[in-house]
Amino acid sequence: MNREILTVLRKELARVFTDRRLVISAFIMPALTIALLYGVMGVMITRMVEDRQEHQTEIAVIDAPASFATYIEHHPQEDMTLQLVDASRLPELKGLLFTGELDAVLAFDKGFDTQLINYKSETKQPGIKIYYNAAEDYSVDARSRLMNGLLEDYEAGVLTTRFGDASYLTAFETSDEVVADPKKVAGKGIGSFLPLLLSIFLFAGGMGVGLDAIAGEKERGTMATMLVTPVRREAIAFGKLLSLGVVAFLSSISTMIGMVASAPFATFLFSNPEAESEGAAAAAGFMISPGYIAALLFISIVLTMLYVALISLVSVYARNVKEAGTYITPVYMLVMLLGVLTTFGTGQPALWVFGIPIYGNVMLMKMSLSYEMTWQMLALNTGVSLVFLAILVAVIRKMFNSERVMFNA
Amino acid sequence: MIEVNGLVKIYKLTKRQMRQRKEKDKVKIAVDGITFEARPGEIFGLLGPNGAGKTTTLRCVSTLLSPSEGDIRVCGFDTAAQGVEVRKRIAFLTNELKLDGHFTPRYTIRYFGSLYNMAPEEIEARAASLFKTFGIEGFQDTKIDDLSTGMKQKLSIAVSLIHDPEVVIFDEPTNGLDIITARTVTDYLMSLKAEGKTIIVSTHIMSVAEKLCDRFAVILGGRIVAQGTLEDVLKAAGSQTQDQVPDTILDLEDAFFRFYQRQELEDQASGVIS
Repeated sequence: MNREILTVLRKELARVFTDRRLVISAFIMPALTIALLYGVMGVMITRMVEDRQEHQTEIAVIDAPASFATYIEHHPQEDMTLQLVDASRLPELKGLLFTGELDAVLAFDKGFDTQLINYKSETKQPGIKIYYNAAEDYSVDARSRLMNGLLEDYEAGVLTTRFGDASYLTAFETSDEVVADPKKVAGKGIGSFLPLLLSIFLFAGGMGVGLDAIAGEKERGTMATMLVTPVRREAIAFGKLLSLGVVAFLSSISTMIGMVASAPFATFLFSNPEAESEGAAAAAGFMISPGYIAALLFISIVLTMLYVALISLVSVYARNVKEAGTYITPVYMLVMLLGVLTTFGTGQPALWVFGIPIYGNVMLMKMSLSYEMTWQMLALNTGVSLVFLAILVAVIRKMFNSERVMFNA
Repeated sequence: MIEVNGLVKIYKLTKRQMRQRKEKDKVKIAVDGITFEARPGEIFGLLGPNGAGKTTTLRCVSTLLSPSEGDIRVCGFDTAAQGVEVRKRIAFLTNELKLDGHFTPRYTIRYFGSLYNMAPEEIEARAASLFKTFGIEGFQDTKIDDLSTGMKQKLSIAVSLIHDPEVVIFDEPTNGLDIITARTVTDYLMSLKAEGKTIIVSTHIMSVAEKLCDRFAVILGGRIVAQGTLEDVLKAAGSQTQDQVPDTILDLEDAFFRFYQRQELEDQASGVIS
C-alpha cells in the first residue's frame, strides 16, 4: 500500500513539476503577482505620502491681526504660503476651497488683537476659524499643519507675552514607557494579517492544481486507466492528496517569498510603529527562533491538508473541471470569510474558538505569531482538525470506490 | 478463463440523468441476465449494436462496475469480492480509457509497470518487446499529445499489456484505427491466442468478428440471443426464421440482422415502441 501511494505520489508530482504551464501558474505567478502588486502598491503609497508631505499648502488669511502678521514675518513657514485677503472675498475663497484650488482659509475674528489684549476671565475669547475641505487630502493636511504647527506656536507666543513664561500653563508633564514583550509587539504587526493571507494562498495553491488532478483526470479518462490496475483506490486517493498538499504548500511558500521580496517597497504593510520603536532589535532575532518556525510550519501543514481534502472532495464529486470550478467557488468564499473574521476581535479569544475547523486554525496561527499560543489551544485545534480531516478522507475514499461517482454510472 | 453467470446490471438514474437521456424510468436495465464463458486459447466475441450492453458487460468483467445480480469469475476470482486479484490478471482496453498526454510513452509504460508491482528490469524488457511489436520504438520520448491517433491507440494497447496478463478484454479494439493499425492489432490478438490467453473482444463490425473470433455471443437489448461457434450462430439464425430460407444467411452480418429483425418483431408484439 505504502509503495503504491509513493508510486502515485511520484507520478503526480512529476505531472506538476514537468509541466511548464503548471509550474508557472502554481509557483511563479503567485510570487510574481504578489511581489508586483505589493511593490507597486508600496511605491504608489510612498509616493502619495511624500507628495502630501512636500506639498506647499496654500492658505488665505482673513482679517489677520497685526500680532499674527508680525509673527509670520518673524517666523516664515517653510511648508505653507499664507496670503492676506480681504474679508469680503470669503464666498469666492470658499468656492476655491470647494474645487481644491485653495487648501484652507484662516479667518480671524474682527478686533482679534484688541480682544486678546483686553481679555479677562469672564469675557469671550477671541476666535479663529479654519475653513477646509474634508474631501481633499491637501486641505486636510493644511488643517492639521495649522492646528498642530503654526497656530500652536503662535498661541505659545501670545501666552509668553501675557505671562512672561508659557510653562506656567502646564501643571505637569506626561511621558510613557512601553513595557510590552517586544516579541509580542513585533508579532502583532505581522500576526494580524499574515494568517489570513497564508490561508488564502494555501487554498488558492491547492485549488489551482487540485481541480485538474482529480476532476480533470476523470473528465479526460486518464483516471479510469489507473482504476483498472491492481492499485487500491485508496492508494490513488492518498497519493493525490499528498501530492496536492506538497503543491499547495510550496505554492504558498512561493507567494510568501514574493511578499518578502516586495517588503523593501511595501513598508506600509510591514512597518509597525510600536514594533519599530520597541521591538525592532528583538524582531530580527525572533523570526528565526526554531520553535517559532516549527509551530508555524506545523499549523500550516495541518491547514494545508484540510484545504487539500476539501478541494479533493469537491473535485472527486464533480464530473468535469468546469463543474468542479462551480462547486469550489462557495467553499473558497467561506475560507476567505473565516479568515477575514479572525482579523477582528480584541483580547484573548475563548478556548472553544480553536475547536472550529479553519477559523480555529487561522486563529491559532495568529496566536502563534504573537506568542500567545498555549498548549491547550494547539491540542484542541489539532485534535479537531484531525477528526475533520479523517471525515473528509473517509468520504473521499467512499467516493473513489463508488462507481456512480467514478464512472458517472 | 472468464465465467459470467446470470449477470444483471441495473443503473439507477438521477433526475438529471433522466432528463439528459430523456428516460422516464428511474432504473435502466443495461444487462439482463447474461451467461457465457470464455476459455483460454480462444477469442470470444461479444456482438451487438450500440447500447446493447456490451460495454457494461465488459466493465463488469474488468471490476470497474459491480454486478447488480449474478456473478463473474476471472481465473477463478470473483470480480466483486476479489477485484485486486482480478485486475492483476487482466488487460482492459476501451476508447474511454486514456493516457495522460503530458507524459512520454517511456514514462507512461514504466509508471503502469510499477503499478503492477513489476521489477524495473522486467518492465524494461517487456516494454522493449511491446514497443517493437507496435512500432513505438521511435516515439518513446515524444509527448503522447504529439503522437498520431493510431500511435496513441497502439501505445494504449502496449501499456494495457505491460504485465503480460492471462486475460485480455478489448472493447471495440479496431474502432477508429486505420487499416494498417487495425491489422497490427488483430494480428497481435491472434498471437496472444496462440500463447493460450483468454481473450474477449466486443465489436459491432461483423467482418472483424468473423475473422477474429472462435466463438460469439450476440447481445440485443441486454440479453444474449445466440451463442456458440460461427456455425452455431448461423444455424440459430436460420432455423428459427419463419420463411425458412437458410440460403440467405451467408455470414455473420446476415445472421445478426435476422436476430435484430426478430427482436424488433417481438418488441412490437409486446407493445414496446423503439
